Amino acid sequence: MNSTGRYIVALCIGFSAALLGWSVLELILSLQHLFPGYTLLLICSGGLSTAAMTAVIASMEGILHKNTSKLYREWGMGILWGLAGGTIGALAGQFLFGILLPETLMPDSFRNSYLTARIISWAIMGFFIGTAEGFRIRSLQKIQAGMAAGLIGGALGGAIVEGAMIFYPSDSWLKLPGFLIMTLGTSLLTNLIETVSAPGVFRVLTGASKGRKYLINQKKTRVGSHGGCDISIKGNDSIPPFAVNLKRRGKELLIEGIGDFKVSVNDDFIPAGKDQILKYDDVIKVGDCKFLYEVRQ
Amino acid sequence: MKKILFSLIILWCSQFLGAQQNITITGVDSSEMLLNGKIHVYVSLQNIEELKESGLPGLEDFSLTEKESLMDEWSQQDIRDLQFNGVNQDQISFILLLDNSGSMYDTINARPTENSDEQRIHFVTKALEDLFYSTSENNDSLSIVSFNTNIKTLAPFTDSRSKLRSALESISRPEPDEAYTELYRAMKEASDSLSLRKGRKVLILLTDGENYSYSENRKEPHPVYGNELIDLDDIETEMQKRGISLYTIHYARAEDPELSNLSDRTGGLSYTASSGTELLSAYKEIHERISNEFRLSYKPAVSAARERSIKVTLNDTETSPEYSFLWEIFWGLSPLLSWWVYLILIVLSLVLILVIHRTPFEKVYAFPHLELLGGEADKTIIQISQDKTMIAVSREQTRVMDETEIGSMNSDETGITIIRGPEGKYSLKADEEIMVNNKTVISRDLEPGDVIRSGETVIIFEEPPEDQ
Repeated sequence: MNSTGRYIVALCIGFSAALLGWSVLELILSLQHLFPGYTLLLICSGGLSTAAMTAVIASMEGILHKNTSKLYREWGMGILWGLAGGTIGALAGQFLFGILLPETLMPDSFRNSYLTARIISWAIMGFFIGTAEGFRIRSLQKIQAGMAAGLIGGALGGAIVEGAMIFYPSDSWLKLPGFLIMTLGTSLLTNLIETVSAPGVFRVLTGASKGRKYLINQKKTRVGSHGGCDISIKGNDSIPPFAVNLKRRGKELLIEGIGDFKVSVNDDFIPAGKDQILKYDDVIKVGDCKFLYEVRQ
Repeated sequence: MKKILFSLIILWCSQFLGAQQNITITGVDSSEMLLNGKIHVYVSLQNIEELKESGLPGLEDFSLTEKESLMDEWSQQDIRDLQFNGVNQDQISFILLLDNSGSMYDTINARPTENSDEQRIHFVTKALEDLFYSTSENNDSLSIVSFNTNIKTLAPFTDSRSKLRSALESISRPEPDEAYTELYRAMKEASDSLSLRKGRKVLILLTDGENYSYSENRKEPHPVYGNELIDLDDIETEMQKRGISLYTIHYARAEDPELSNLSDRTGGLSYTASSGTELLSAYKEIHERISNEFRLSYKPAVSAARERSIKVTLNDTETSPEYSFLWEIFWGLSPLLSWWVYLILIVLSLVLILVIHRTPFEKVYAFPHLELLGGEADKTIIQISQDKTMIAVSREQTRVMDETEIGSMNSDETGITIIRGPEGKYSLKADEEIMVNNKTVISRDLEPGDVIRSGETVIIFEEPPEDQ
């Protein structure tokens, strides 16, 4: 899939995440009279809606690469991380809204404090939504991309919704466009930042996944048949669970076989225990699966 | 006999009416709502001195009812906790909001004077000094803010009476340009400042005039606040939301009904003072009243209503006037549609995610082929269906040829032939050197996934597994 395709998928995922998160929030709010107290209501509404959005946004790679086991892990991490983020965001929002802001940051009016509290809170939620996948795979680059995208998306969503609510104060549905801006902004911006910052991509040349592209945007990328690998090759007995490591060293990308596994670059095997710097247009063979290392597009 | 009966009825009625006014809700503190779900309600009893001698009421003597302000139905709420002296003194915050406009430098009878001992401000500062001396043992926090055209904090919150006394010395007569009365803005800023304090929050306003704003009356923007005007209704909303009680002391003039009503609605009182002694007495009464409050704590029911009304009853006979306060959940309004609509939307969004996940993003071809990458021919698929497939590759285009066209190739074109051998194996032969898998070749056997490069054109050879 080319870059345009990735953006279209990111768009669809962002839309689904917003619809799911908003529906969860509105469901909880419409049943709020059943809650014993406001604190639990806030935790549930913020936590569960953000958990839903984070899980969907975090599962982008799993969806793109059709890796179900990766998808489950992304959902698991997304739910836990989003639960924490949504809870913190909602409590912080209520706290700022009710207590902190009137004098310290926004002395002018009640409405401004409401607006600011919401924007800060949404930015916090955006931060958690954007960074779940980065923390799961411990990739600083992904965390940075998710953090920037999440903060911007969240703050923008909150600002636009609150701005609109000044003119349409009775329209509770305005939260939906806010969620849309937050999730679409987060998924598209993350995608953009990751694409721009990746030195290259691995294009699958053979088999059922032919044409699939893996952005090489982590410090270390693992290739193997295990579902937990960043590039997971299914249905190939000749490939061990963890076959090859790709390591970034500055602008260079190095390849090495893990253990005794031999990987070939341009039809030449790399001796076990050695690594080799990859050049663009190199063809890498892992078992029967071939990849082209190419400049990102 | 009739006269006696009539007098008894009047006496009974007046006693009942008096009892109705004996209990008043003076403030609400919602700052702990997030921590423990509790709202603290401050209640003042008029006959507190008598009760101190005969025995103070206990938790079981109070009851509290609550309703959403737009609804009619009151519901009984459990009182979780009761404290006399509502809060510890160190949890009481006062702001003394002093009018320092030009009229405060007139006499009590509103005559201009240059004799500072006759000016209203002199009596005010004197009364405050006396107040600070007489409450020097107290450890509640006070802040002094003065206002005219500008608003100035003379003393931030402190329990040190000596600091407060020193702050009074910094009060100076305003210049002619400073003689406006930004009363509402000063109240708003004081309310903002009090909202940060925990516990009991009280604003004591001392003024001899009405709101007389710079921009409205001078017809030009205020140097700091521009043309923005403050509405008294907004101040009331904010004070209610923040549980701040307003006590107004009208000095040397009749009560301002608007301010008096606002004081009532926020659980405070209004006084008229025409001498320093009366001023001191009013201050002391307010202080005493706050110190003798009860604090009732309850957990309100969860609802989307912003405004709630409460009433407190003592011994099932004396009921306070209705008191409204605001509590708003961060998420704002309740949804308009039924809960099951959102449940359906949740299912729909999950289905959408499943559909995205199941959608194949890569196309799989069931025949041997060449895939061109880059340029205008990007993603073009050339099926290899013959024993010899010949293509001509140039910078501009890649085209399939038949054998008759070999002689008519352009000079910038490179001819590449893909040959299927007798055992179904494929090989490649080129007119000139090309790159296969990043190595220079002119001919070689092909494997699935081999990458052929001629100039800028990249071609991927692929053969489905069943053909291999």
